[in-house]
Amino acid sequence: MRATLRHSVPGEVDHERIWGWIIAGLFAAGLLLREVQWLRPFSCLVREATGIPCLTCGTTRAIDALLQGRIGDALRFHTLAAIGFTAGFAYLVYALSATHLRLRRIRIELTHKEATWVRWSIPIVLTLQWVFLIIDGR
Amino acid sequence: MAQDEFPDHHEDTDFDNPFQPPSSTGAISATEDDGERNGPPWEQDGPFLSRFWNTTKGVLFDPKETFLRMRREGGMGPPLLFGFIGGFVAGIVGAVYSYFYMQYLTTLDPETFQQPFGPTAQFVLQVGFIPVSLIFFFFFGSGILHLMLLLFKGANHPFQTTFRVVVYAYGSTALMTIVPGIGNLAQFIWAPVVTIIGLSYAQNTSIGKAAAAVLIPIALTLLCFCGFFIFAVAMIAGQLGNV
Repeated sequence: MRATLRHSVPGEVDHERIWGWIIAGLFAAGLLLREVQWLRPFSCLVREATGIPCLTCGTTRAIDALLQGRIGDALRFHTLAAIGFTAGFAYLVYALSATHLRLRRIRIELTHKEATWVRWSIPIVLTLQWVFLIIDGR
Repeated sequence: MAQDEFPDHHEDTDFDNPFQPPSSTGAISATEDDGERNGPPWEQDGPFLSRFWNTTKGVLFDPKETFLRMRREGGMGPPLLFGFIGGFVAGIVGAVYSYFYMQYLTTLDPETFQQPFGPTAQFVLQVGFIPVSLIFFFFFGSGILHLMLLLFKGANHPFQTTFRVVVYAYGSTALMTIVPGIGNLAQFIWAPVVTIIGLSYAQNTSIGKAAAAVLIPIALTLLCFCGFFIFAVAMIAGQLGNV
């Protein structure tokens, strides 16, 4: 893997600006869902109907725990959600800083081998997370 | 080239450097894709309504030809404006349908259909949310699709190409929801079809990879109950509003 720092090129799609604001919007929507009870869906009926939790089971609890500083609980409730939320927040800070302070942008290049490894690891990690949720007895 | 070396920037690099436009290695034959990509009518000169209507017609009734001619790059502004207009018009009409339907239901049975906000306030909120939700949907949806294409090695052109397909597809099919009763269902079926065709011709990839990129996120959303719940509420609310 090779990471480089460079300024954005005129005419290039400004990914940091786009995804920074998208993530900010997602966070804002999430906070609204937490506060406005009638907007929330009720508990998971997939689990109630089949006994098997869906892949996102525990996401809300993980994020709640993370926001309260209970990192261990957050990782237990939903590891990927906790890591994803933290990574999303870190990216948000980077993206908005890079955009508005005109900082250099991080660009990552992968070798063919690394790209193949990433392609295969995504479904494997998602499956492992789901198996953990089932074994954990949600 | 050994697998642990970084690919040269002039070679095909679909996933390795998503910021570098790669050369095409897709499934669309050269005879189908050697025509000039001068863009849909929306990106040509001419009267506003004529350009909008001809582009919408092309996407809905001749998506293959439309997306064969669509420019892969050239700015996100023009397609974004097209999608915004189509989505906004559809959204306003949907909000009007919902307003009158909720008025009717509230008159029939005020207790059962009591809402946190009155129909007028709901209409204003609904209309106010349209621009934000459109912008969010276009970029987030395109991002998810492009990631899926990268996963399946189907992204032979950069993110802007995927974005253009999504926005033109949605901006056109959104207008189907204006038809009362069956509009939402028709859009639910035809929008993915048009997007799959568009992605396959614009990204120069196979129909199979384009279909996987489009249909897997939809299937996962429906399988996850939280996603299904949100989706079902939105569909039912939209459908009831169109009755």
